[in-house]
Amino acid sequence: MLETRLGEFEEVLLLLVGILGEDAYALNIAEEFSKQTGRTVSIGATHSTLKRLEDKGFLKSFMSQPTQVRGGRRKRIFTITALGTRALETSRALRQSLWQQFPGFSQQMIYEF
Amino acid sequence: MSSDQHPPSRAQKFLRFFLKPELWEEVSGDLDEQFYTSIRKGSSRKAYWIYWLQVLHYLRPFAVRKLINTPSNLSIMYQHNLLIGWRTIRKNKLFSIINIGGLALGMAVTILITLWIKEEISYDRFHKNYSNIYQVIANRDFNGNIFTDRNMVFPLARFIDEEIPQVDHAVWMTHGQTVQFTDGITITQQRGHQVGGPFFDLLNWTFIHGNASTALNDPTNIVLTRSMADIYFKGKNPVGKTIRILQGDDLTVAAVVEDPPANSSISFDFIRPFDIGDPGIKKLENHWNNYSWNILISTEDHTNMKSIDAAITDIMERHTENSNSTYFTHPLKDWHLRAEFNAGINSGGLIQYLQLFGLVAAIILIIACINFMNLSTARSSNRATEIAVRKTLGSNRSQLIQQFFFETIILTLFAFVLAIISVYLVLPYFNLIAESNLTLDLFDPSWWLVGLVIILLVGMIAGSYPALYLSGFKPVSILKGAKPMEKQHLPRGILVVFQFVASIALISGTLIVFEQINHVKSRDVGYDPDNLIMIPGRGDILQEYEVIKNELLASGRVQSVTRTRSPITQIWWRSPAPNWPGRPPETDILFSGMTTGFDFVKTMGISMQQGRDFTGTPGDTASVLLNEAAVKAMQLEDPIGKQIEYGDPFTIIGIMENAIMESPYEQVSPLMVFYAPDDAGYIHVRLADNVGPVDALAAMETIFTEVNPDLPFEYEFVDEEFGKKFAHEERISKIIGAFAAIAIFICCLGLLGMATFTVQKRTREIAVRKVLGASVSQVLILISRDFIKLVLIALIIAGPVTYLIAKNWLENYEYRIALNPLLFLLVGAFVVIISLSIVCVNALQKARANPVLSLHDE
Repeated sequence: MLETRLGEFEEVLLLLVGILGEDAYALNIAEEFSKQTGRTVSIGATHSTLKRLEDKGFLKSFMSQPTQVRGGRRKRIFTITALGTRALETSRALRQSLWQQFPGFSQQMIYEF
Repeated sequence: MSSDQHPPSRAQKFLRFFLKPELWEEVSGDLDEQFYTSIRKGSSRKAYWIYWLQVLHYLRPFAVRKLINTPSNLSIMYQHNLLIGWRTIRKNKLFSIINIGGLALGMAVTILITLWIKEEISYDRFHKNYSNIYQVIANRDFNGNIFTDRNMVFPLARFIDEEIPQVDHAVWMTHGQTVQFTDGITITQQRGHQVGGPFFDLLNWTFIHGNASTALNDPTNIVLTRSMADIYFKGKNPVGKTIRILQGDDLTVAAVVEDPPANSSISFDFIRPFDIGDPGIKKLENHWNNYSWNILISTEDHTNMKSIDAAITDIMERHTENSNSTYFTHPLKDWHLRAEFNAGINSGGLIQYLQLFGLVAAIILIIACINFMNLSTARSSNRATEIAVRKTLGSNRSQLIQQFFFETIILTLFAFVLAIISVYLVLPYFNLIAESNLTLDLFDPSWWLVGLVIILLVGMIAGSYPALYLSGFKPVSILKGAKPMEKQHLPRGILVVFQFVASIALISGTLIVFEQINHVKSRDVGYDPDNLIMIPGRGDILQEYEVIKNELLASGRVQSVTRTRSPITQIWWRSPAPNWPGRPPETDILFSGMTTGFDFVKTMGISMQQGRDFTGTPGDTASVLLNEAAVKAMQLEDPIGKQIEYGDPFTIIGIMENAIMESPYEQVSPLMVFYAPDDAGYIHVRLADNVGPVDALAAMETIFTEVNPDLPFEYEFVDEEFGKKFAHEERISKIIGAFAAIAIFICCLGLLGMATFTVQKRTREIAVRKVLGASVSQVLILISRDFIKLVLIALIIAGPVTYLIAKNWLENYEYRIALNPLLFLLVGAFVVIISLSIVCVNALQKARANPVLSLHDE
């Protein structure tokens, strides 16, 4: 059985796929990851994780129309599935719940509000 | 986008090679896109780098295609065998360690011995004429006492060359001589030969400068080895240059040859021709009484050597009156390996030790293999079910045999790697003990062939019994629950007995060798070798003897000084017996001779049995000292004052106790000592009792260098020289001792494995017996009885066998120990105790355990 929980890297990638929409292919996702987090990651590592997420059913993919830029070669565009969205929501809910139970932090938030 | 910039094609090719084809389009698209983007942004070099990096980052399981084709059925089977083999090894760690460790030890010993034997039999093979070269030697018969002599007369070689057509070349040469050379600055001492005849045509040496045909043309020529040439003419071509013998002639370097290899019987630093102009040499040309030279000959192929031997004997008989010598030829291939003669018959030599050690190595390897067989068959019942299931599922017997061989060969492979590692570690120590220079060259392909053969051979031998035996099980009866091997103890018993026979034999053999050496060492030497120093009479030492003697004595560090013809640790002069009144006819006794000066007996510390030493009076020149052996051989009664005739008449003035001058393993030969102070070659110095040798040597060096300012002060301690006579036997005993230890260790490993196994198998039996009231000791006796029975049988076999072998070996020595049967009993007791303790330690645990625990299991 495949692991259904999300790792940190997986979670970020899922979010990035959602953000990038039509442009969510491996190279672009890797570059966006670097831009957003300041950490570099290879295309291979990104691709490998995307493939894993696809195997888990959180992503699906299709080949785009060939473009001139890539010498007629197509790219694989990833889109998030309903299962993927649910996994993200579960993960966020868990975190929020944890944040709220964290006394030091929730106190502070009360003061701020 | 610039058109001349492309992604690195090598990286692309590589990517294409390993990437799954279905990923190619998207991945290469991504990588190219990134490449062109970074080119537009900055340096192209960086883009290349990034591209490569990205390609390498695609080396991930998800992206790499299957590079190996789907395995066939056969390789699945081998994979399976490998897996099962590996599991069996891991499941029984103790057994595996014993098996692999024992085999590894056995193989390490075999590899070592093989290396050594290989080195020894490679001796002299580099000579082109290897099989046609001989040394001329003679058996000299002294009244039935035959003594084999390598010393020949000077003219013989020339006559052999002229008169015997089958002989291609004949060469005569001196024994190795030590000569001091100088170029005006550096003085060195070098060893070499003077030769006559075509030395460089007979034997092959590699010429660096000059050539074989002209090297010995001129009597003032000299041929140097590379290392000697490097001392005096570093980096230059020395041919035509001059080198001087210290206080002697100038010689012209005619050629330079490579140093004789380590595996050459003949070694030298230089070779020079006899000086034919020298009147002394001229005289020798017709001198048929002086036996001092070695003669080498080479013959045509397929020569009948018997006829050559007869022809040589014939030449000698025509020129001399003595007819007690038979001449014959000793082939080059035997020089190193079979150099010893006993009563005129070749009695072997090194070859015996090669054979002995070869045998020992084989025995040790066999012991290790036996361990393996024993443990595997013993464990067979644990695997019986596995075999039955395999058979039921359709394995035929040959497949099972294959499987077991496969497992054995895996184990053997492990053991082999271990063995190589240990040989590497042990080799330096082995070289030290065996005084050899062996190396393990792993890059030598022939070596790998040997390794492969060893692995397969050992694998086959060690695996044969379990493979054939285990594969023969009847599946039905085993699956019904029958035990497969209840009445199969006999062959295993035989194997264990064999192991112990070998170990007992090796241990007792070692002890016997040790005992013999100690016996000879504690023998009365007949003189006092401690605090005695001998100094070769080089340079002006002998001319200035009186001065030196007085100064030495005046220094207060020296008790007494004498000069002799030869060192006290050697005999240089052998001769037929003198005549004496009442000598029985046809008595021919081989005598040793020595000439000395004043104070001989006192300096050597020889005790006189009767009579007195030389006194330095004129009457001494007509006097002689004999040793006890001489008196006994001549059957003289009341010898003092009797006359002997040896050229001139001599009066016997003293009888010395027998001093061991030659081999301590032989009887002391009859010795006569004449007074001839000017005929000296050595000075012997007895140090004063209360003086330390360092102090004394320093004082002596000053005195000697005053006389010989150019020469280094050379000296030898007599006790050290005497000790060297034991070196050979001591070496052998050390090696055999090490092997005996290894053998008994491997045996014990095997015993340990067997004992552990037996105890495991009988756990429940032990528990039941305990419940029924057996005591711990009764259980121990029960378990050890079987093993001790085997060890005792081994003892009964090993005793007589070793006795016979040892007796045979001891017959090489005239002075030897009597074999004591008690020795075998002691060794036997030792082995019994060791095996008992191994078995008992194992059994004790089970015997002490609460029986409920083991019975509870079921």
